[in-house]
Amino acid sequence: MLEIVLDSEPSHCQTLRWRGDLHRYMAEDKAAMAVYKRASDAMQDGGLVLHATLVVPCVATEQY
Amino acid sequence: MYSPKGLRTAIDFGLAEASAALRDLDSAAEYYHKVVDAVPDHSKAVGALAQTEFLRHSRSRSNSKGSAVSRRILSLDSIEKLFLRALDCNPDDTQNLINFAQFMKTARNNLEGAKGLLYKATLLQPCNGGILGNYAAVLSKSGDLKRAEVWCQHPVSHVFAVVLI
Repeated sequence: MLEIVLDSEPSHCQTLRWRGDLHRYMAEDKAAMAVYKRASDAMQDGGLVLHATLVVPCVATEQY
Repeated sequence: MYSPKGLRTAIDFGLAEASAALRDLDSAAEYYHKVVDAVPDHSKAVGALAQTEFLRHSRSRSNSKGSAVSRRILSLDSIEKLFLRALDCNPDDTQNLINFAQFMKTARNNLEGAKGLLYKATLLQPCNGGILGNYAAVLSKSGDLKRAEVWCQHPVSHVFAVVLI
């Protein structure tokens, strides 16, 4: 699921961070390092903005 | 949802943990310092920073050629302060208790201190064979053979203790 989100939002810092955490949990440290670095770079480029597709499902869950 | 600062810290902590897992101690120290500068009471980061700096210190002593490092090696006093600070943030962090005990034993030759820290760790995790074995090993090394024997006979610890002693 994280990969699906990252396909459409490759610079989404929070998702990249979660992807890095998952790599680390799976003991894939080199992959984790690469993803965290992407997150770090994205953050410097202002990649924190949430895309609408990420926000809408959360709102729907809360309402119903 | 994380604030930008919280997210920045989480990413730096992830980078530090991944660097440490890849044995890149200099990078790990760099990132742990960033986390601790941003969140001074982040007990896991402070404890991990202490352990990383201890490993860097040990490596610098064994590596006589002295490889080029980006950040200066901390003194043992500074490292001890970091361990104490981590315990101050979270007194029941068994990982930090074990790491600090190792520091006490090898860097300070303080077996009594190590014994106290490991004893507390055994109380927190009484079924952790690794901790019990280490505790028995420290008891044995400090000449407390009777108590070491008792701990070695603990159903959980004996396998580890036999290896360590």
